[in-house]
Amino acid sequence: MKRTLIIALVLLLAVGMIFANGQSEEKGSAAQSGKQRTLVIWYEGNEAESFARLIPEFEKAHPDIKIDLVNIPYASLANQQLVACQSNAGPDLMWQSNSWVNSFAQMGLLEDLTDTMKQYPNLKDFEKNINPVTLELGLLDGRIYGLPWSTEAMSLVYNKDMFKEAGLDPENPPKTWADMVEYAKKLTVDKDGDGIIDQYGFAVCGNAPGNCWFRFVPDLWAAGGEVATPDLKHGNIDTPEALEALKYYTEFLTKYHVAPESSVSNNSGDNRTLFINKKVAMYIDGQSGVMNVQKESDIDLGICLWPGKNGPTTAGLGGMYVDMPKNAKNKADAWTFLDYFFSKETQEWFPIAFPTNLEAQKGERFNNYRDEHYREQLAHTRNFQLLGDTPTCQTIIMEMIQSVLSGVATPEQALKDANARITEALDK
Amino acid sequence: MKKKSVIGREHPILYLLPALIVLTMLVFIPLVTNIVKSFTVKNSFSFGNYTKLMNDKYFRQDLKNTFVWLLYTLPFEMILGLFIALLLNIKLRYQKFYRTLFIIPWVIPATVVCIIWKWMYNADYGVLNYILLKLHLITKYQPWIASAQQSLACQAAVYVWKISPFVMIMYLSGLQSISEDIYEAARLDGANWFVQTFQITIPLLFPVMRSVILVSTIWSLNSFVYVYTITGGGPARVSEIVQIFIYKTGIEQFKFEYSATAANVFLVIVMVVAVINIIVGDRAEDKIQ
Repeated sequence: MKRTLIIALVLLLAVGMIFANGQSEEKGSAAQSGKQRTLVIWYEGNEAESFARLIPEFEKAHPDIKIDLVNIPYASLANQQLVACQSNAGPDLMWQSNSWVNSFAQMGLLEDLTDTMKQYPNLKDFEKNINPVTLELGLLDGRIYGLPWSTEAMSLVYNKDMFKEAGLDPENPPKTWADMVEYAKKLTVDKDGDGIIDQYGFAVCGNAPGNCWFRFVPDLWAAGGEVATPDLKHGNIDTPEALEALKYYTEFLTKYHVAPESSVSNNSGDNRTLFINKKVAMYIDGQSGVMNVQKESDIDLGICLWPGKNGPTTAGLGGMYVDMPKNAKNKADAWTFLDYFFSKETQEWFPIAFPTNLEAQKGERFNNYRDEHYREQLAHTRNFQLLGDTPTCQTIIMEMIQSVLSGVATPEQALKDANARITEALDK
Repeated sequence: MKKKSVIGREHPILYLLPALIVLTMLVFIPLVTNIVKSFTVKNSFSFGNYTKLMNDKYFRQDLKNTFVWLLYTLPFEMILGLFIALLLNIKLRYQKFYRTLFIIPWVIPATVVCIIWKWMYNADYGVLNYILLKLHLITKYQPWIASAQQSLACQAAVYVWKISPFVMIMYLSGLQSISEDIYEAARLDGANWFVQTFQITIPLLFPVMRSVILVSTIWSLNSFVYVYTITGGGPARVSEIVQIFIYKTGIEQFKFEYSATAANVFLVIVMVVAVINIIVGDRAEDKIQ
């Protein structure tokens, strides 16, 4: 009896380990007819409330599909998606920053959507209904790998009350780099005289690769520089233009001390928190981020065009795409969702920032101070270069900024090192 | 007389089989795969990865950071763990309550601990700066993890805070195995607390100490979660340790062969450190006895 029991237990353990492989591969398969199928969506963004409305509506219209929505913080989104797609453990649909889609497509990780989308009523005329500039980053060799659904640009956001207290005209915000430094100095205040700065002039972003990218690269453009050479095969930041941009970006902390001491570890969300808590007077943010500020505070905020070296300048065109991993397990239902999601009716209310759908952009809900200013900034945007490995280049830029902010390297050394690493990353 | 089952004595391998299966699947196969990958460049056998690694300044820097991390963590967790164990070994009222209290850092998940400390360490709105300033222990806000000089030490402090309770438990169980008669005899001879601790407690505790030091050394060298969660190795990779290098190279940059190379080199280093640890421990124990 004991012998039989022991043998049975050992066999059970061995068999259990062989078949204990976690989730079933068939979980999302449309082959599970008659049962509810799961559609896995990975997203990041401020659309939690939008999803809270969308998912029940979609599931009511399609009772055989259950959406498994996973929110992944932006700072780690690209890496997690890369890992998941490479290891066949990705979702069925993923939200991506527009700066990643082309890289993922070049790596062969995304489904080519071009032909299949023509079969769906809300997708067949997709290209005709949007600004073609917003679609560029989702293309590879003329094929569509990602569908843009929101378009967004960053602007300078400031606290008008702090401007008034500092003797500055809130209707005359900074327009040039020199203005930015001058204003930031006046807005950096030790209110109670204890030697501790209570309010900083400007929040510098030193953390999260994507956040640093969107805030530094436009300054680089303003100085006349680019991240990569025109052939996109070599780094192009070991230049006087890049040096000028990097010095401008980092000297708020390193030279003028008008940026928070925590800058090197602050991402855009941290800077937004500082602004909401009235610890900084100015910072860079996008439309959806500012919506959070308005929800969580009563700050009288101002928004103005991105201050450039000699005047207002172009920001990087941001926005979110949705794409389908090549190894997605439930493509059939993913297409059903995409068709539903890109209907004009859904696009009119879902995106917090501007929808890419041109008709939906005209909605009355965008007739307010915030959205009118961001619409103006959108007219002053351009796409980032279509690099073969944008996520790695973003990390390199972030580390470059951190090395200067923390005093580990001079701007010259940091640029040299970053340039070599970018060249290596592009030369794959 | 009932015949006893002799299956265990005749086939002891059956008892070891489950563990062997797990070890093979989770350790031996990945290890061999790792070694093969490290000698692969573009699908051909090559020492190229090893050559590249030896010339990689970031790997050398991370190796140095890892041993600095060990220096920051090991002595402090040993001293703190022993100190708290000695205190908890004193017969007090509510002794069990105090023991439970000191276990708390150990039971909180590491990621949660790291996220909380990350917020506490924030240079501008972290509670640590606020409290220290109010107590006049600092005159201005410290950058902590935002500083290239302080970052690694700050993260090591979090690790020590989290791991010391485990060290304390090990020492406490060792202390409780020391007979009270020895202490009584020492007290009769006029030995005070210090003499008892250094002439009786520590020598008798040495076997436990050896094991704890060995395990703690390996854990410290292999730690990943703390640095990854708090700063990711920043700012600017100044607090990056080898485990972060291996992760970033393999998982984030998909350079699997290169990452495997770094992992193998580090495995050899850790094994050498463990062997030195054991040899030194043997000699020290001989001397004490």
